[in-house]
Amino acid sequence: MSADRGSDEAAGWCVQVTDHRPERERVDEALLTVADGRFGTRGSLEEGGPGADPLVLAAGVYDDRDPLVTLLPGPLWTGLDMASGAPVGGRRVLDLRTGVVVREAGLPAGGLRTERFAAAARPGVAVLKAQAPAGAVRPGPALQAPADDAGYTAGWAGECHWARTTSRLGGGIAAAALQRTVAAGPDDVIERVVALQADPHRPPSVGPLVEAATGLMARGYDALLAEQRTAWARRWAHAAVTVEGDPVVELGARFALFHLLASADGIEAALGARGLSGRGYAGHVFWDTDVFALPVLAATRPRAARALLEYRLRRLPAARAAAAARGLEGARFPWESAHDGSEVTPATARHPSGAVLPILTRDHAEHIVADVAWGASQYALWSGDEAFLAGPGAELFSATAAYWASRIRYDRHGRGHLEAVVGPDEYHGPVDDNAYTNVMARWNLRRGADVVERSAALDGRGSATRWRTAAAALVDGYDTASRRYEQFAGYFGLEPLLIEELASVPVAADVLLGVERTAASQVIKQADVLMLHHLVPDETAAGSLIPNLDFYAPRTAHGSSLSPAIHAALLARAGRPDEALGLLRLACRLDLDDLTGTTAGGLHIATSAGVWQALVYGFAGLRPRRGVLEVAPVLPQAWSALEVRVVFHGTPVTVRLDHDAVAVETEDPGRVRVRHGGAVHTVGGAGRRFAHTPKGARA
Amino acid sequence: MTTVLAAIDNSPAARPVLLAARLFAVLLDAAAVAIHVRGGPARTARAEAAAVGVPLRLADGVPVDVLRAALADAAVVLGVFGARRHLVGARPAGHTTLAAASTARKPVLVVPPGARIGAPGDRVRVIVPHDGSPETDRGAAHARRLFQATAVEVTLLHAFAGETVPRFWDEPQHEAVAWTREFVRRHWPAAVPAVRLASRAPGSAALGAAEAQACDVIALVWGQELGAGRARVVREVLADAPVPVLLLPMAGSAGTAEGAGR
Repeated sequence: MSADRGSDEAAGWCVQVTDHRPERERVDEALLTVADGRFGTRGSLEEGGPGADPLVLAAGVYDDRDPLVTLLPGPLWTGLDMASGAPVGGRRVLDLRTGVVVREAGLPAGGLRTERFAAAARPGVAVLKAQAPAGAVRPGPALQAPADDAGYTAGWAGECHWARTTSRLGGGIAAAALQRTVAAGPDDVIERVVALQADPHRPPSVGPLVEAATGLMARGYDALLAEQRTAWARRWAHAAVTVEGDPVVELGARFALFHLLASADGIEAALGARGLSGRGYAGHVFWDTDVFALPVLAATRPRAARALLEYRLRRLPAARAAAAARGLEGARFPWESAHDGSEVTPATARHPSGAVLPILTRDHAEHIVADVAWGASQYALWSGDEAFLAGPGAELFSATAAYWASRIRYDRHGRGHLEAVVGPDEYHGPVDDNAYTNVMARWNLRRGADVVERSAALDGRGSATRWRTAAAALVDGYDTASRRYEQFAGYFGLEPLLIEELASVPVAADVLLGVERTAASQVIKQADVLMLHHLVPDETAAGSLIPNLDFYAPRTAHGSSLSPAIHAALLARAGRPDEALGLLRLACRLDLDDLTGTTAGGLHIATSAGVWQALVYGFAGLRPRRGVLEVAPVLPQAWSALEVRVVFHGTPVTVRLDHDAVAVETEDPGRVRVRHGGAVHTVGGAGRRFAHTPKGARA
Repeated sequence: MTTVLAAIDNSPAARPVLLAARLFAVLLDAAAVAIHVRGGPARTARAEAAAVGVPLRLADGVPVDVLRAALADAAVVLGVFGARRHLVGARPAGHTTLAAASTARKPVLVVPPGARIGAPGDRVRVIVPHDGSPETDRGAAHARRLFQATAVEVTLLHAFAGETVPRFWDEPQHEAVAWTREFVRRHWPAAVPAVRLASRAPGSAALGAAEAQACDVIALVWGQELGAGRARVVREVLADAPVPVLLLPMAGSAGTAEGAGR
């Protein structure tokens, strides 16, 4: 895998695969996935071959043929018949600016060029074009069955090839394709258009797709490509990042953002841990979506973020039932969620040591309840969507707050405790009074109280008071003398092992040391206490970031791919941006360099989102507050400038930061207020520029 | 017809060597043939070969030279040697065995005295420690060719230890599935072996599997010398394995497509 660097702008926007190795092919397929938020298609070679794992997925359409509920594969549409012989050499390039994958290769008779994309302007449309010497490449079947049977059926409607896969859970994915071959001098040009539809509840009808495919073919490839370029240009106008002086981070951030921007669409979107690029993690939805991905989309594609929330809102009844089953009030979301909002976390797993271990997150990672609420609050802060806050958002905040209120156990001193939980650090558990869970629950209670006090639809007064009282009673493990939070009750009494002294991080400490030894030590998997400083800094004690960073960082193994970017963000906030770069670059390259060994199964959505959060929340210090965009940059010496584009309360905003100043421009003068250096300013037609001096820790 | 060549000495340790040769000959649809380099009347060698029903060829000369030449015959697909004469004896294996195996460009099965060998037609469970390196891939290709279309059950064993401990292990209920699926596709394509992960040193992990009676053969890729580095694992396993050890040369083999191409 190579990524062009240097001063060529195109180079900073292209991910290129120049060598074909069967053992690497599945990684490359994941990296070259094209998606439109509803359907994802892996970047498989048109001829298939050794190592290929072609796959089409539809967001939210699951099947239960596997032991686990997992995403249903759809009909494949990228196959071509290499009649004259297999292509050799060449390269494949994903152009992040346009979402088009271009392939160039050699054939016995000459050169091959293919182009493909998932239409951002028309979700549910996929397009393929191939050019090669006449007769060297034939279209072959426009649609093919996936490797898993998946109830595949196919047929013809005139010249239109249709196909459908069906789920045992009732849903399905259907496709209709048309293709034509035209002569272009000595070459043949093959054009294929595909209309896709998916439904999680019933197999889609083919008729409307046949009609759609006919219309697409009439529109023509060139017109569809022009739409694609326009659609992506519009997306990047509201989301682009530029990191001057650091091509590694710049390309990594754009790559991460590209796949995030293409990860969700529609009214409701189920975004699994590996997005639409693979079936890793069974397509299950984790806190990765709410805490990591949702804020990114809230700031760049608010409607897509709203679709992620809709997924949770439609599963609120299931969450209420789960709470009730435990004798609790409100709503309890599952740790892993799929089609119907029930808990789908496997109960056990075999550890590399050979031991079969219970998966404790299934029953104890209750922080997911507050995580869902936090994601919703981020959407509200970035979008200013008052209708959401007054309507479904209010119900969500209220239900999650009610859960915590009923979950707290009070001791004889009236202090509140949350017992037998697992926090983000999954090396320890179940534990009592995990700081992350308790503080997030406290935030959730207070947020719920705010909401019910304002909502006429909810019986507010009594609940708000009770919830604020409960919030105040919750212990949080904070020690004023040391200014540290104890990660959970008894944590400070564990073996004070510093992982940095045992191995180079990141490292899966539970595999290195064994589960029991790790659990008996202070080694942690990922940011836990520190996650509070990232998500809810206002809920943490003033001046406590650095003491907690200095204490927990040497104990953090980063055995979770979610961790490095968060630490990078916090190091920046602590005034150590240069120290943050190593972890940020690691996160940027995690999938590009297949650092986990599992990118073949799909891209790591949370890591990608963490990169954006590190840049925006960390280095730029850009945070939505109530109606105000706060900016407090801390840039590493290696960067000459950082520019980010976001959408704040429906208004596109460009923020450019260098070592001397902050410049804010907006397309809608007078609509955006910015807080910098303690003062609030309204950004006018000419933008706004603030002189800036490097600052130390803000907390 | 292809052959499985059993190199036997003039001792009761010849019995498990002969039994292993017969078992693998049936497995590989080959003929089992034994060879003994005479140093005397060879009565025990003759008796053991007759008891197992494997034809015996008696040869004269320097044992290592004779056995190397016999192993180099194009018809021989597998050599079978005894590790040592007695349970407590040369470690990791006898001089003749190591010398012959170190130059063979085909797999050599080293059988410890007292090894329990199944009967012809029994299923054979082979554990293949694999560190994910290209060198091991080359040697493992021998095993894949040898075992294709046979009744051998292959389990890849990957030991997370030292340098191979993964950097990330997110959700264990999914990570192992994702990791092993990709590992198999990269290192044992076109088949679906079981995968066993271990979090201790590879030699120890392989021996543990054998002691737990989870395999009948340990297949090791080796560089055909017992110096430092990965050879430490080969020495350890050869010395202490209660089951036969199949040595797979890391380099390509003579007389095969792979060997011809290298």
